[in-house]
Amino acid sequence: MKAIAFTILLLLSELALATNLRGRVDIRHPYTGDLFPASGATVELILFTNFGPQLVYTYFTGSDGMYYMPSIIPGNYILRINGYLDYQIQVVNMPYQDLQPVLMQ
Amino acid sequence: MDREIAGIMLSFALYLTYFLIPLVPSILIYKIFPSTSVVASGSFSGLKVNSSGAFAAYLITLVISINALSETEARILEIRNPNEPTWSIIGTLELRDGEGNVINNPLLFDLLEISLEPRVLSSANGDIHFKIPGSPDGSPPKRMITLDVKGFGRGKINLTSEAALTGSDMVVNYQTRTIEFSEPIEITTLTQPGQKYSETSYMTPVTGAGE
Repeated sequence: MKAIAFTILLLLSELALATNLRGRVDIRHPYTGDLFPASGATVELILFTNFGPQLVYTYFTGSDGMYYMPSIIPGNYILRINGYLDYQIQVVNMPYQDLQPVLMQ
Repeated sequence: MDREIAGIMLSFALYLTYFLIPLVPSILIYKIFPSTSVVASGSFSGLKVNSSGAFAAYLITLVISINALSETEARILEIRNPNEPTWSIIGTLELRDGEGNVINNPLLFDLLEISLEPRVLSSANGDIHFKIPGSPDGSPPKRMITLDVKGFGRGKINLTSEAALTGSDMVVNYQTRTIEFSEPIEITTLTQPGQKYSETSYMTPVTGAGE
């Protein structure tokens, strides 16, 4: 019984440490210079471990340019856009975290 | 690797196998049992053969190998001469914004990916020219080709029906197996004109994060 209770507590503690990430990718219109949401952008969340980079999550933005990454363990990550634009981010321990928008060049 | 080159390399490997495999028993017989009398006589490829010893062993194994490898040879020929002929898709791409204005930015073509459903076969930039497998009966391929400029938008080439192939901007040449577009293939951005954002502060990219 104690073991079950311990397991449940352990699982709940894991859940409490998970953050739902949200952010937006923009693109500058090459013709007019206006800013638009970048649809179809590949957003990857990468964790650097002792064994090298580890892909944690991949998301393809919709027409609103938004990306959503549920249940991310707090820590330091690299947010990679379209495989070439890297941003260093810190995921904090809170239920939801909005990241600063990213501009695709 | 190109099918033709792969076919030639496989043919070469097969002929090498034809030559080398029979050598193994003949060398073994020659080395281990020099006094064993192996005799081969009869007709082989229209020639009268009457040999003995290691050479006879070589001949016997050669005949067995030819029969065993004939199926492999047929498969290699299939690779070199595929049943499905290829068709060339030739055209020019044109980028447009949500309001229909043409965008002249060749850098965006660097992000272009061309994919086929059900599988990806080729990619190109700006002017496109690629080959895709046709139908076994020699008619044009019945496929939907997606042209994806990542982060910008998508265009589609619909070849899924006979009606789609009779489009006014599409010239289908059955002789040269070419589908050529007389008008640019439009790739429209998925962003909506009303979705413009005001200037805001953005994250600063880092370099060498993974190094």
